[in-house]
Amino acid sequence: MERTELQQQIQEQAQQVFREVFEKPNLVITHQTIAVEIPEWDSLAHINLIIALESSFGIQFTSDEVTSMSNVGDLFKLLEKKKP
Amino acid sequence: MAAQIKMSEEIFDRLTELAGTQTPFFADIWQRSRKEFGEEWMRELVDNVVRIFGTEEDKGWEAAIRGYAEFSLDNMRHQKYFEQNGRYRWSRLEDIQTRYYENEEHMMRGYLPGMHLSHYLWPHHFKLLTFFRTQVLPNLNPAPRLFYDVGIGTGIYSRETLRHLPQVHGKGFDISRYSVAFTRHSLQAYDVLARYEFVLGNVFTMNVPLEKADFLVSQEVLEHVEDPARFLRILHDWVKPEGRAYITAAINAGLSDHIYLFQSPEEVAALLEQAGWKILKGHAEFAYEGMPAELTPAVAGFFCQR
Repeated sequence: MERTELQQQIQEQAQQVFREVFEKPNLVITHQTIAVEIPEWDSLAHINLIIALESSFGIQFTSDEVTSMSNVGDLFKLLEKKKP
Repeated sequence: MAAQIKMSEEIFDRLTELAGTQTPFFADIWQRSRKEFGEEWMRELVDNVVRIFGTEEDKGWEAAIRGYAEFSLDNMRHQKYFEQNGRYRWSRLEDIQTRYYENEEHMMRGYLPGMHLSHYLWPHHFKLLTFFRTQVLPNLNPAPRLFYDVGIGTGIYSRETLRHLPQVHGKGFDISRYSVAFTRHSLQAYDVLARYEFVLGNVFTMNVPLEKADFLVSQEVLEHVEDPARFLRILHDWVKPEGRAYITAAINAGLSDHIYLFQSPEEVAALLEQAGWKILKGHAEFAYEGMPAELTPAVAGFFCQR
């Protein structure tokens, strides 16, 4: 699979998870999306999101990755790196 | 004094800035707790961070902030597990002893620094500490000469007892050498270590101490043991007749090493009474609102008499 195709697939799958976790069916996320743009994205929502992403992608994030993550761009990079 | 206050404010601002850049999703609690508990709380927290974790230059603040985020993350992951399964992940000491208590990286990097800061940053923990300071320590009459802290954790309740009662001597018991190391460092930082000694081991298998205590603390230990009823009977036996104790437990609270599930403060109170303790005062605090009580982490503390 081409890298851009993989990136797009990850972005779409992650977006679906975001929509379910935040209960916003029209939410659109990009590399530039930051937490303040989603007011519900606090520490509790963050862990819900992480667990849902781990389940959806079949991966496990480390503590360092989860605690230092600051925006969706970081998240996409990690998903790209970890996706089996 | 004004200069000291200004310095505390500057350090607190820097800590929250570091938390914001290093652990963005675990940073808002610093300012939220300051708003809830005020400037005295802020100054105490700053003093504590500087004494225990050192300076920014030697990465002490970063270690504290990352430790707190890791501890919170571990807590939240296990709370999710509890919400989904209605039970804690582990149920036996052998499940957690090697994995956690004997794991230096787990204990020293996240668990102990994080738990220590949670006593200030988590409102329900700080309120329980306040209850101990205002409702328990001032009501120990006559003042105890000897106290035991069974399951010292980070040593914060031993530290409070030693600082509040200048004549008291203490003995701390714990199964983890890392808890002993962290507590030793903490008591040294507050200059109260000379009145304290440590016993490393499992209270279920060790010999009864030669001397019974006037006062005993066991802070959020009950949920870490397989048989809390027997544990409470042991504690009861270690205290002099009419001696006092402050015993607390975490309720419906997932954490990596919680193995016994308490479902209500009343359940803890009943177990205390069955073990022979008379409850003088009780106090419970919930971690947050918005979830059913049976899924909301809580802590309950009981001031008891033998």
